[in-house]
Amino acid sequence: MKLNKTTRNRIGFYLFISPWIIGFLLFSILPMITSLYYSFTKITVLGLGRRAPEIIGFKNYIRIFTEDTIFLQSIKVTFVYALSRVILGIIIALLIAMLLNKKMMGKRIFRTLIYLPAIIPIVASAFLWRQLFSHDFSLLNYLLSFIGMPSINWLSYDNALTSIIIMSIWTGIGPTMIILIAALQNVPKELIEAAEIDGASIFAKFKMITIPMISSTLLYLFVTGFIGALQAYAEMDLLTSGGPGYVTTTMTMNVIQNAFSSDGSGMGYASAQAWIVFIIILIFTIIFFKLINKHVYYAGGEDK
Amino acid sequence: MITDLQLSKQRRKRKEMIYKSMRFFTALGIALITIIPFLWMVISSLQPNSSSLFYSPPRFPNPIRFQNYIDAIKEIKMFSLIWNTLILVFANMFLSIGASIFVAYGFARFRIKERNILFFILLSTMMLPWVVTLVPSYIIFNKIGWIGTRWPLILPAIGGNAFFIFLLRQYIMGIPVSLDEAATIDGCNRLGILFKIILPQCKPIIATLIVFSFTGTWSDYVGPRIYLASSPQLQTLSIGLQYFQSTNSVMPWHLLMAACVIFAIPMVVVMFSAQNALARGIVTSGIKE
Repeated sequence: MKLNKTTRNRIGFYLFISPWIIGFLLFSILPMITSLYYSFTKITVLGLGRRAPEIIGFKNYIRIFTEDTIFLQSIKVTFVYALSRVILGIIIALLIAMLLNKKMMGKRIFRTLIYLPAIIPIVASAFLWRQLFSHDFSLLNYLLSFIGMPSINWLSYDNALTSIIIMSIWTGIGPTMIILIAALQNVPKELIEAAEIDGASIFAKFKMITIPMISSTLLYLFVTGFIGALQAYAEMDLLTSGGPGYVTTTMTMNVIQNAFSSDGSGMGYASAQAWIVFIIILIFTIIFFKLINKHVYYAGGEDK
Repeated sequence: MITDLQLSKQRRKRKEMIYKSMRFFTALGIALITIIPFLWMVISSLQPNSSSLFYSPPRFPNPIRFQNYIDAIKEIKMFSLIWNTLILVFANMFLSIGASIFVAYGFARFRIKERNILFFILLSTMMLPWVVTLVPSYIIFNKIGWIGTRWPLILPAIGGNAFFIFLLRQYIMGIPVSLDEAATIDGCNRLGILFKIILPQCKPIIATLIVFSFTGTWSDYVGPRIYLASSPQLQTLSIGLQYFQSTNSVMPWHLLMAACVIFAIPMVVVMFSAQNALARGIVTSGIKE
């Protein structure tokens, strides 16, 4: 029997993408179905394989919204962290990108140096910042005293989240800056020059030309940064373990803590929490993509 | 008149000079601010003891103690940690880039009705929060007895990496189809086209993927923390660095910082030697199709 061309083509296509299909089924779909099942059960990490999970219906979900103040608080912490980290990060990176987009001696070296924090492994930079944040006599507090400011207890109840945001901005500035420089280089020079001839101020040029021309990049950076930051875990786990008093416990961290705790919460409850995290992130993703489709014009044709 | 014009020209030139140097020094200042913590890490790693990191005002190490590096390597058996990390790095690199090449070629070169919807699903998996699959994956790996082995950290790479596939597909779509067609006329099948025509052209983007894959696995923290907690002999650098804390009553900050420098060096080397490859990946990821 001879297969027609379309069928042969289709078989070829699926053969080529088969690694992804297998990976997708085994490491995305199967875990998600498993997770949905476990979210209706009660099982702890110690009970895994020893006893069958006990099905308890919607109890886990009800508990999330009625009893678990720590989780609700962690949602708030996560949003404060994500918003401030992403917005401040983009503003700072944009200022630096505009500066480094000008002709300048040593531009490449500056760019490399500012990028450097981004490639230091997160564990190494967390230990470094723990040192900087730690002591009354840390370098950071010394530099503050230099400009006449009092010592700060960086990882205290009031300051811990801000401190982690500072560290995250430090590590994240490089890639954001590189993307923004690339975007700025695509802003047509003629537009800027025309505005200069018309006597536009720096601020006017920025507001009327630069921002609209890079709006798609800004939105892209915000969306991916925000969705990434909503899943923050390592920074907090390494610097504060979520403390003091849960002020730096994020959603993801709370899920993991519950999953591997031996008390009543356990894996079933954590699965239910993970689904809530998923739904929260999904809602924001959908909203953002609606926004992108509505407000941003991409130069270039359709995807072929 | 003439002198007036010359004067204003001169003035403008001087103004431009001032702006230029102002910009330069601002950039220098910003670069210094971002680099100081890193320099401090290196300085700390050479201090004679832990408490000399916290003198006020800060002091340069006196005497400079290179021995810290040897002590750090010995104390947490760093060579074995590096070895364990490298196994994961190369296994992941090989599997995820290899698989991504096939998948990306499929998505770039076959015209099938359902291709776009499948590609959309692939892109959406990038948005899937990792914590959703973490707990059930742990349960599944526990069932097959793989907790405390390297498998949970290697095997998921067989499906490729959605981000890599995206980058590769974009790149392959930029290669003229006429090359494929010419090869087909010469009697090449699809695999032949992929290996003889497409792959040689993909070298730059594959360099980018190697950098991304290397840095990603080398620095990974969550994976080893979850899956290797019960097997210290398989532990990676990310986790091993915490042994300083657990084995000492007072944190030996100078040794820890030395270990951090060793941990960071390969990344710094990669960044300097593959700057273009790195920038290409970051920039492409910032430009949606």
